[in-house]
Amino acid sequence: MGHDLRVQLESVGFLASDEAGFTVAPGRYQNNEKVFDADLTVRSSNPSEIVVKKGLTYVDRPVNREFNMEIYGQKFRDGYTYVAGILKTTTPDAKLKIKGLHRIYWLRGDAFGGVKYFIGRRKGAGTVQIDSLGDKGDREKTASFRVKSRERGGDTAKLWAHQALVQENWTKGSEVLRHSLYFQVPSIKTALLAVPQEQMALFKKKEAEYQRKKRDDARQRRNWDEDRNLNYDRSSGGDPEIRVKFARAKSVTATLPDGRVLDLRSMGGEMWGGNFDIPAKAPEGDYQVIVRCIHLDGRLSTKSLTYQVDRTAPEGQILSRDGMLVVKSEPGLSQVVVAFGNGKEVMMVETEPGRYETPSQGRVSKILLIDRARNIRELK
Amino acid sequence: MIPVVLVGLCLAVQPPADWPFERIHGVEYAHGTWVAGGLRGLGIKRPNQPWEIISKNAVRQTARLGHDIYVLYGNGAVDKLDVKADRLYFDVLYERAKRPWTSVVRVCADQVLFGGHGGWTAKSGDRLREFYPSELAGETVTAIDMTADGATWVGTQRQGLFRFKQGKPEKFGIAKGLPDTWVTGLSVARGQLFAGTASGGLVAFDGGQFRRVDSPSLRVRSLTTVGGRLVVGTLEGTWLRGESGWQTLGDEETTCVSTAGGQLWLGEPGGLRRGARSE
Repeated sequence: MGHDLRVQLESVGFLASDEAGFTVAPGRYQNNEKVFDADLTVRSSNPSEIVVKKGLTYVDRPVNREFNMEIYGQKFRDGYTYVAGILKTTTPDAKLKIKGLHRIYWLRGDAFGGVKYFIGRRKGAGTVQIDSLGDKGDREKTASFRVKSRERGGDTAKLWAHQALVQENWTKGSEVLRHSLYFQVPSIKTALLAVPQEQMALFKKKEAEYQRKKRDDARQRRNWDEDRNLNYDRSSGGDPEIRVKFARAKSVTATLPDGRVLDLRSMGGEMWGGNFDIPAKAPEGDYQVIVRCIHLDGRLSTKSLTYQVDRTAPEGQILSRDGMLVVKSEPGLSQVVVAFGNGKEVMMVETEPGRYETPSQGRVSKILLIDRARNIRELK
Repeated sequence: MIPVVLVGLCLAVQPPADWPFERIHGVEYAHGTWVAGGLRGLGIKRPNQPWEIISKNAVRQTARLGHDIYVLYGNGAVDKLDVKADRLYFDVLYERAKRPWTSVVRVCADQVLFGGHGGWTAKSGDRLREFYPSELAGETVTAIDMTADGATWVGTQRQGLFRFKQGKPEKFGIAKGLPDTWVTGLSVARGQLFAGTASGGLVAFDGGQFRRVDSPSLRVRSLTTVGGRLVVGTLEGTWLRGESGWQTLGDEETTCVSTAGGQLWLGEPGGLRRGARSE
């Protein structure tokens, strides 16, 4: 066969080729000296086509010219049947014409051109025919194959789509993206499509969860002091947040003063938290929240948090000493604000427990005493 | 409860038969979809489907602009839920605003105002503008609104109220009539600006300073206007300010006052209930 012949000739190392055939030197030379003889044998070709002239061997093209094909078609969800084919030919340079397929792409075949791959598509079942044309455009060889279009699948469609990406002149990235997504083939726009779709969905979900958690953590860090367990330890009502730290915890619950049990959620790391509500009508007093943790090793541990419901406005007394305005009240007030008659408003400073001072600016319009539970007393 | 009819609400839609959890802090309705946020998280109810809990983070407030619902969480993050596209956008200010921590959200005309730490961010379409005036440095914005004259009013947790008009700031604290330094709500009703405070009740702006308004409770937690009338939610209940005085809508602690689906909704510790509807 011609194909075998070419391989064999090339192994000799002296090969030239033109339209007439092959030219082979029957030996290898070095410094004009013959190093060894090449024993040329042509197993499948007609020996009569081998002619030796002036030390060179001329081999004509084999007479037994092969031209056959095999094809495989799959019907894709877009209604087209995508057909992949292999053509074997002993006339690799001959012009080929395919009937029964359109949008055909030729793939790189073997090194010698004797095996060619092609892929195209058609609507429904039918015959695919390949003609090998001569120099004058006349048909020299023909091969045909019946496409049944019974099998459904995306394999050949993906092969076709990939070649379309490689061989077409795409001008818009959006078109590349749309094409890649439709056929699920990787492209410069969809490199991650190489990952299976299910994994990609999972990846995206995990990524979103991670980003969200990162942002939540960033915010929580701003709102919380390291060692504080309740963000309202004094209140007159509201919905404070509990945050506790347990190492290797499996589950954490908080039992509220009214007996309700709140499941706390993992807030990342060893922190667990949740919100609860202090009823607006809760009576004054100290309340306790019991936080119970079941650790991964089954061990139990408990923490107790307290908060105070305070509905009593602070009392206060105004004093003026040495040009300073002084207010005596309970220690640890949240704010003591004074409005002077000149329209100025000043925040007084606690100079010692229960004593709040600021330089006097004349007549006092009013003073507000505000405790940590937002109870307000107005002094005039 | 006394039935109340409010002019200005659109035609009411059929509300859900149940709510996803108690203690709701905001409810919205758009494109056939109900959204409720509260202490237990964020729930969404699409047409003919049960409630779906899409977040377990505590929600502080919700606000709607068109089909976009903004969800403010207790941790200061703001999500945008596009109910038309059925898509949730996480933390819309993160890496966009200089200070993405938000403490209050308000929709004014076609823009959304996000009050935060030391200032506020205004979102109009895709445009984001940030304001961090020195007067608000270190302060937490707890209420924000705009008046017809273009002024932005910003209530804080410790310094009272500020007006920013044509870039010029002016403070309205206890020296100018505020009974408390913590402003919990702002609302414009029939052209007049009202401010609610945490422990000092209601005040109204008279052009130069604030004056006390007869308030059904001193502990105001939310303030809104429905049909031109002021609705005040407090720790003691919810009231509507009518021509003849305050009308009681509820006598429980108010967790939110929202208009959704053409109805006024009152959030209470036990759940959500209708306050009024149009007829």
